[in-house]
Amino acid sequence: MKRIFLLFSLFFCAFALADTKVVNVYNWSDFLPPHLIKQFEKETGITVNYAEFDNNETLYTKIKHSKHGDYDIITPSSYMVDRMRQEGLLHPIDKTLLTNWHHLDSFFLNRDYDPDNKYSVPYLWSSTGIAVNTLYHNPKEITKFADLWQPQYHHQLLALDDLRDCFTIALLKLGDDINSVNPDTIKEAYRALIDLMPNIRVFNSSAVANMFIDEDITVGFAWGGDTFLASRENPHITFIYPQEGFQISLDCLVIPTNAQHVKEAHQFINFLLRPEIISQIPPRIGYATPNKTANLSLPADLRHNPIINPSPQVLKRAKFQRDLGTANRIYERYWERLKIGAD
Amino acid sequence: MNDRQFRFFTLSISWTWLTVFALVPTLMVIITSFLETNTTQNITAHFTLENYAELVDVAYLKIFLRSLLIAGSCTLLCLIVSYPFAYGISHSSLRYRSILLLLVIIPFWTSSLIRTYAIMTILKTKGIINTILLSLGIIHQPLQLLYTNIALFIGLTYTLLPFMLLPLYANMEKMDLTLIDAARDLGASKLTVLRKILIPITMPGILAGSMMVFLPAMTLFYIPNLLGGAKSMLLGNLIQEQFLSANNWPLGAASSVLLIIFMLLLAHWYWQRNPDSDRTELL
Repeated sequence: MKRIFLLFSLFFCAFALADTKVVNVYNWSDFLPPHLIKQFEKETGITVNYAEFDNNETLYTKIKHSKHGDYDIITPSSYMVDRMRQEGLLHPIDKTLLTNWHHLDSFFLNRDYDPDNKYSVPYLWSSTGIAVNTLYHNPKEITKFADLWQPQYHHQLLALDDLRDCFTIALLKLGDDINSVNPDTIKEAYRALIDLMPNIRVFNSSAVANMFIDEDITVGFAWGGDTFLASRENPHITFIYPQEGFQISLDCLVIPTNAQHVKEAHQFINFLLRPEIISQIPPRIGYATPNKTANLSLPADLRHNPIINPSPQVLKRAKFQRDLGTANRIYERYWERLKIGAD
Repeated sequence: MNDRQFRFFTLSISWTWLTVFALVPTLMVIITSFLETNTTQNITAHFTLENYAELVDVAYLKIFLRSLLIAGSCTLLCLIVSYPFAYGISHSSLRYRSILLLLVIIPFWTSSLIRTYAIMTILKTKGIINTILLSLGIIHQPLQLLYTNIALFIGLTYTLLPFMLLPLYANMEKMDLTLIDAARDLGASKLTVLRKILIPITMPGILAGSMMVFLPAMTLFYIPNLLGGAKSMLLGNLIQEQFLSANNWPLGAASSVLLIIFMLLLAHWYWQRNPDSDRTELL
């Protein structure tokens, strides 16, 4: 019996050694349906080790402290790509290996956070706009973020429990750059947020879709993805792209400098650039894809859905997040003061 | 195993337990509160008093006062509800008494976090209260109950009520009922009986219950988060925020230490007032 067991384990060891093609992926939760991972494994014979995270800061800490190259592909948002690129944490992308590169919409390429996309490949994106339940509010009365400051919304708004999102709407209302690092501008935005506080009813970012579906919240600023999911359950919910502009959070595929399987990582990225693959993700999570060809191949109702596929005129108002560098600390101070209800 | 060995054995278990799970963590909190914060690592081993200096700020004072106010009102509310309730239980017939007590204790078997979510489904726009009131035609627009201070009070009072009820009950059960009859015979009004007999006799129970409600009310962070809409921040939320999102462990630790000191002062005051009370009663 013992001998058989030994034989078996030897057999499996040999098997494992022969099959060394592996790619280690660290992705946002829910961002990749398991059947697509299986399909990739089947097509390429590469084993995918898949793990999930739920915020950029966790990802950053992990990558910064990973000495042995635990991950081959990670998916930071644009501002985190910016920081990682500047700190030399990213491996350049070899575009000659990415035969599907041309499917990408040029609107999402060559942005400030990563000039020429030297290190990053756009993956999925969502915007922060205004979600409204039309049973309770006239959507025509809300066209810009500044409208949320009106007294008629006293104690009604949902505010995303996220520093960047909150400051962005205040900066846009004031007509400032969403990536401002000027202490005076940041202070003004903080003052504006204090004025908004009486209108805020809830700070939350994890149960947004449910709050809108059950009508516990009927107006507020929200992510496109959550609003999309909520609007499928409750048809009265619509999404407004504010006139001042809006912030896009674009999550990118990047390869850390110390990745062990760079070639496999490129294969994985190329797989995700294939229109028929990436187009399966938006209907599930409400995030949009920067893949032009994929958007054209979506079913008609999704292709014309303004959350999944906004018109180029709307998209023109989009702003991309950059890293704030040392100004992060200033924002954090004000954010803390805002949350504890100072002043 | 002889008697002495057995004593040694059992005592060492409780001492180990207390050292590992009470003394060491508390010391860690105290030490952290004197260290510096750092963006990449959480703390750096460098002594500073900065964290305590930072807490001397109008904003933090406001949170402390708000916590005191909310916890104080919640305690009063619990007391008003529990007092007649405890009196009723302690003077009901023995057969019902155990059933009534069981009914108070049964909800304890469910996690209080889950019970908080249950309260949410009662208070929601499309929740139980609104559905009933709407279908009876009493209201025509759903009431906005969730994410308000009312919801916060309902949640805190509901969760902490047994902590007030049980000490009061224990106290009242021992009370000699003939005292009330005697007072009434001597012409005392009902109010005088309450003021001069009942309240003084049950004072230890009132104080013990109040302490047991007051302190958790300041620190149950998930109730303001879930029911109050994460807007009304209490001391517990401040500590949670410092540790989990602001990543300022030393400041969070310093706030905890201040809370511990405040708690000890309250306990000290209680023991001074009741010199003959058993000191373990509160713990």
